[in-house]
Amino acid sequence: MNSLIIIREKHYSWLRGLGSADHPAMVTICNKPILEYMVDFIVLVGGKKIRLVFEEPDGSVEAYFGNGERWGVEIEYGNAQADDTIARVVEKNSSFGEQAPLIVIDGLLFIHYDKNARYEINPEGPGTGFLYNSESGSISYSTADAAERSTLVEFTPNLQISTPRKIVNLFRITMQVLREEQHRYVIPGYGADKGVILGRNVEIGKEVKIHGPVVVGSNVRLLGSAVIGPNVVIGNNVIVDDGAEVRESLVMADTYIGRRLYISAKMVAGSKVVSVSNNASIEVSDEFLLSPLKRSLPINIVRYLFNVCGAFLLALLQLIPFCIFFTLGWLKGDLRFNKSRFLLSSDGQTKIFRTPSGFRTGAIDRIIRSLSLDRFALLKEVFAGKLQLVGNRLIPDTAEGREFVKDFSGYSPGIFNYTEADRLDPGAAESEIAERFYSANRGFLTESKSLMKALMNNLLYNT
Amino acid sequence: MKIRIDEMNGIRTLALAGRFDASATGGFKDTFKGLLQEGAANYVVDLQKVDYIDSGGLGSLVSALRQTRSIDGDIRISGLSGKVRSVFELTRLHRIFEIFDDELQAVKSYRTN
Amino acid sequence: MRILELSFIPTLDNAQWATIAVRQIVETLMKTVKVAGIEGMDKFLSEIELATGEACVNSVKHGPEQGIDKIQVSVVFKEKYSNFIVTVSDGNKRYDFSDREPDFDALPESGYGIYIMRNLMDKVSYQREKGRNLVIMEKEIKQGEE
Repeated sequence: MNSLIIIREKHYSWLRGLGSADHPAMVTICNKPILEYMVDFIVLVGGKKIRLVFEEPDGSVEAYFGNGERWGVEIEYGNAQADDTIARVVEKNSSFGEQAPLIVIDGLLFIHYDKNARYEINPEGPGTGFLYNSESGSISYSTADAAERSTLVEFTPNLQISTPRKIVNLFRITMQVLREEQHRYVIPGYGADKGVILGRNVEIGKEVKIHGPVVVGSNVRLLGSAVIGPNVVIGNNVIVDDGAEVRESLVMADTYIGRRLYISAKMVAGSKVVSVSNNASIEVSDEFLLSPLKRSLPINIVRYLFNVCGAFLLALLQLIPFCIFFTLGWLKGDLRFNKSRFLLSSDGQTKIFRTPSGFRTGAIDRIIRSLSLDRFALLKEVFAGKLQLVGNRLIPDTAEGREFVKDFSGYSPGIFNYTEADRLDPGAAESEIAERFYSANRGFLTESKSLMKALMNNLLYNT
Repeated sequence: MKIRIDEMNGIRTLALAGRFDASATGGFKDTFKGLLQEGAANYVVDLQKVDYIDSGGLGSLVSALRQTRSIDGDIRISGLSGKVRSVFELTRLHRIFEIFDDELQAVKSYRTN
Repeated sequence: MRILELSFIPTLDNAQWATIAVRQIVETLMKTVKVAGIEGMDKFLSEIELATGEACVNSVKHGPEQGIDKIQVSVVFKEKYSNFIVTVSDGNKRYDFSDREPDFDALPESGYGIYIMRNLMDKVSYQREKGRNLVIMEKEIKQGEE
């Protein structure tokens, strides 16, 4: 038996932006994509091939399901237009529907099946060929003889079907699964205590209390004396800070819950809180209270070590001279600094840094520059991950700067930059070329060389 | 790239084979221009045997589509393989063209339209 | 780190041959590193092939009709980082390598090239150096994914 699952993204556009699911089909219920439950169900009733039909694919579903090997089924992919009828979609996927009975699931539906039960499709009895039919979607069945789409049926035993048409539906379905139906599905994670399921890499503070039923995702940190549950689902990549209490709620992926925040009967995603009783939602702007968590990008370990060790070494070497000369310079009134806002990355993050304003007054100032002590204060930014040790020239946060950086996808500013390493004029074309070139050809040796060159240049050309 | 022209149920079909790249667009455009001059407005282009398509190939398909649409016709696509389908999705052309598994169904679809 | 270079006289046909050659080169080099299963490799190669094809065709199209300045393509393979860098350089006038997404709804007939390159490769950058345009594309083999 084969199955066509028609994913009508249009009807679920509100699901985007709720948590980390980019595609509506990947929105999770107890940390498992709703589409995966559907795939599991088809496998359970004997499906051998599944074709997922999209109106608006974005590659993430295909990346997750691949060819279906993991689920013991063959998965294929196809396309449909937004207003295609089921008949039209079957027509477009004709080579798939022939020669085997076909179940067509139209829409994203949550089927309350039990993995331990056996379901049969009853081929006797009156019917329209629809096992389920509502304005939110339908499940229909036809035998191998494609013309006979009106054969009947029912699933025995009978099945409850829910549709996540609104936020409250999603919440209700999650709670139902959590409270009453956990045993019926394969839910990702490890169950130690009754009703509590934890994902991989979950950090639980010593005084954290968890009252089941609770499902926790992967890469989650529960800190201090946080209280979780009962009836809580926490998505992947979430931090619940000390003293916070979460009850009867759904916390979507990539969220930070601040200290002592009390959340009850809510859906939380990033900085957005939705009340399930009245559908009201608010956007919290205080990021210490509630905020989205950026997913950590894969770090190039060598680069990271180079930055951290190099910064540490440099800090050690510079510490004493820094203290001596800065104090002297300050006493003499020789020091001048500018505080400006600079761009940190091509997606617009900025930070205010103090930079020397370019006055060469006095011997102290010159010494500070030649020993690169003026960069000392910036070294801490390397540990914070905001700057590289060696990288692109820091671009100021002006309209022009932003334009430039938007165009420069590899932009990664450093305390020392390639332009000064090669003694180029920051305004000239050669500087832009060098910056892009080194940026595209990063490596341990080239970066070390650039660092040495920058330090040497400061030493030689400032005294 | 090879182009095989046929007719099914009164609809002109073009079965393409090989690489539909920038160097093949000239041939496709000429062929299509000739077909348009014969007056037909509805076509099916089968890409089953196309193993590579780039922006040049896509552009010429879009160009052909515009020409048929301007005379109230259409071009329907059949036989997209994984690779070709990915490029279609990347450039959002799956929303512009009606896509079918096989040539015959695409031809039939003009009747039930 | 291995570097292989090839150059060709700008014609659309030659651009296709060069693209196919780059795919072969990348495939051969990939076999020297432990890589993802067959399914992942084919997709990876196809994406590099298509992006390289777009860059080469762009260079041919933006050049003079009977251009004699050869187009140079280089493939740099960094084993340690499972990283490929393909650069395509031509002697044409400086061109506008803007990031604008094509207006899909307007059914444009051209302009998909750069958009395709940026979406299939991890990093795409453009430089102008010594009178030549340089398009640099990078793609990393992500190991351990199915």
